[in-house]
Amino acid sequence: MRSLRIATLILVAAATPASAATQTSATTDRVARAASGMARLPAGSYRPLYAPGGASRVRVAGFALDREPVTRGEYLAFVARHPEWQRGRVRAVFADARYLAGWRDGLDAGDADALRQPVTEVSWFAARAYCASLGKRLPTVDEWEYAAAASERKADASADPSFRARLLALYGAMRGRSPGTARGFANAYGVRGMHGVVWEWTLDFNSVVLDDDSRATGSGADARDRHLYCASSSIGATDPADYPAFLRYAVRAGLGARSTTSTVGFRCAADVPVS
Amino acid sequence: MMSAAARRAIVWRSLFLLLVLGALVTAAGCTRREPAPATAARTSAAADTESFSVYELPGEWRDQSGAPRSLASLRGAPVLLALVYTHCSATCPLAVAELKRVAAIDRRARLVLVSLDPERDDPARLARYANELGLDPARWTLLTGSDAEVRDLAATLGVRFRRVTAEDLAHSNLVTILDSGGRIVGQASGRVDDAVIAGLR
Repeated sequence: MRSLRIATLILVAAATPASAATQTSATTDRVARAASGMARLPAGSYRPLYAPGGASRVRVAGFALDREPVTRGEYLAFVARHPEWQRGRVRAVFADARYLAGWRDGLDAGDADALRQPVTEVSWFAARAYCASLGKRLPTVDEWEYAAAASERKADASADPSFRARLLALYGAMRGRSPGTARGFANAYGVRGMHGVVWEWTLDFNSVVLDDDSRATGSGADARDRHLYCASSSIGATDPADYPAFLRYAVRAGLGARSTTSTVGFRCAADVPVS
Repeated sequence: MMSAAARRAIVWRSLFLLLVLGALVTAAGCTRREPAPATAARTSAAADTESFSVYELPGEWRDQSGAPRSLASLRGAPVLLALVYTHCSATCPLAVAELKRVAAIDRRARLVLVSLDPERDDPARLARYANELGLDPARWTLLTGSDAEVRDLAATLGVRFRRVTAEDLAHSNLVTILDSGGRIVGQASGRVDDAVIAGLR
């Protein structure tokens, strides 16, 4: 118990900025340090489930991505530095009532095992604030999906039937459970746990427009007719057989910005200088 | 060559996946379109019913006169709010028409249009738009903000949007009804329920 508390203090101390005067250079340094531990993903393209403007592949610029989801221990250090994000203090507009509900207390995220687990029960606003505090940001849907298309060996295994079957099995095993200490597989980019550990927040999780006014899939009577059918959301899909992608988009579609659940966590991304 | 047993296993697995997918698609898309649970489902997915005020969102906006405005400055009267953009020709006029209809029924409600396209919708453009549509500045507030402010407000209200081309955005056509403190009392995709309008008084 005591060693835990000491570990927490060290975490907090390590993360406390030195002074306001050196803030700017400290921030730059911190970004450089943070990015150095991140995986670098080269520019490329991927096939989105819902293609904007009918393009079958979307270009993604190079970026950096956390190698693993943010843990409870890391998130604890954040709320210690930013009390406005502690349970009981967070503004209601930023998180619903289940925010960090599984923690013992505002500054007690649980035992050593718990501290190593991915943090969940965090809202989109909270995840964004965490990343911003480190000079990072949330990945976009495009960036996340691009990184998630990789298997251990292939950069884009998203069309591979055996990879798809494996992802479905991983998603099925989640079954609404809180994440354990399982870390998932590391993909070809060195990014771990993209599948079957936690669902993850993205910066523009609310950018998928499946109903209402969708110019991409026509408008007026034509669009309205389409909406009369139950599975109409699959009609505009680039690959209706990509079930794992449907699952991920369905999860995103069910979330609001304040939502906190025991299965949704996040990782951060960062821009990288174009070399 | 594949054995018969292996082939059977693949068929069964495919059938199972189809079932799972069917259930998911139904959960994600279909239930939202049935009339009765539609409001509830959308409310839980978008802006849940817990008590919170949209006016807690930070950020500085500008209205059609170019004056800086916070969302909190809307406090004091019920508000009907829609996210639109002035170059939009399809559903945005419908949302504006719906706000006009409610405005005629409830003389107290304020009407707020927030631009999803802040780059093109500067205050001058908003003022011209308001003038063209005959929107009385005493009751109508048109707001433009930064991309981040728009994204935060849209995410809070459960409005989904994405730029499709340089000119067009795809977006939810959603009217949100706020009480005088900025709490969400209802949302409508299309026509606002008469009971909700009556409840504003």
